Amino acid sequence: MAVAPAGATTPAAHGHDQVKIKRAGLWLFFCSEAVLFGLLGTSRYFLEGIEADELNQLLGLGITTVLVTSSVTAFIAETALEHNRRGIFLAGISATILLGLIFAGGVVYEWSIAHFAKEEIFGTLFFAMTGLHASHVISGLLLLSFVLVKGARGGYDGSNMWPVAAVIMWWHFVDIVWVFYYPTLYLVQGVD
Amino acid sequence: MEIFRTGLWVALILGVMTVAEYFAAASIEDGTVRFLVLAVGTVAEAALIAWYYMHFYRLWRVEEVH
Repeated sequence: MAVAPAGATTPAAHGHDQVKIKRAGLWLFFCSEAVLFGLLGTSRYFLEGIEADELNQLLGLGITTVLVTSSVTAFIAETALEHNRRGIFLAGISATILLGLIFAGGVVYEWSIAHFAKEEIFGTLFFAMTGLHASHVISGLLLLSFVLVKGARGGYDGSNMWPVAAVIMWWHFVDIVWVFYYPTLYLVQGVD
Repeated sequence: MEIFRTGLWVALILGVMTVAEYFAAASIEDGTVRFLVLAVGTVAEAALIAWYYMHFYRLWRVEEVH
């Protein structure tokens, strides 16, 4: 009878370790990204305090609601895949992409109507913060689209879903950044 | 459905908090108090997303293979 050497791991245990390592690595990446976003957000308070120019408050509330809702549909997609509910998974990912596109469109519209004088520091901060965040939204949309296409071809199921979980975690991280940026840019100066 | 219940409750709380933040910003006159209220609300929202949607607790949990 063959005897496994001491310290040897089964394939299943190896899989556990792999996912744990990948998850820890992704969270470390989130930490490094949080420093980037945090420094930019902090510079807004350092340079301008809580003062700001007037932005379109209803648009800000609207796109924030859309992005938070997209996190809910992403959660539904991930949970559905965990339980091998493929139809709900694909619908959830599709809805998340659609809501992400609406959010990105809202940001672009805000850019088109937000007018700042060249010397206005808040204008620089506004475009830098929303621009950096929008680039992450776009990367998230590309990743979600990839997951949607591969998922539609049956590439994932409840026992093989780490790529989906990682992309959806990325999307939630992008949402968390906006949860901080929304009050920082729109609300902290007060709403008339 | 049962498997989505907790997440949908969290979604409802996030929605209420987002709208509450807006009205807090509109109604609180003092800038410092407004900043602090918004900061607390924002951190709470982020914590809810990280815990329930990003499954932060799984970092320390022995789990299924994905």
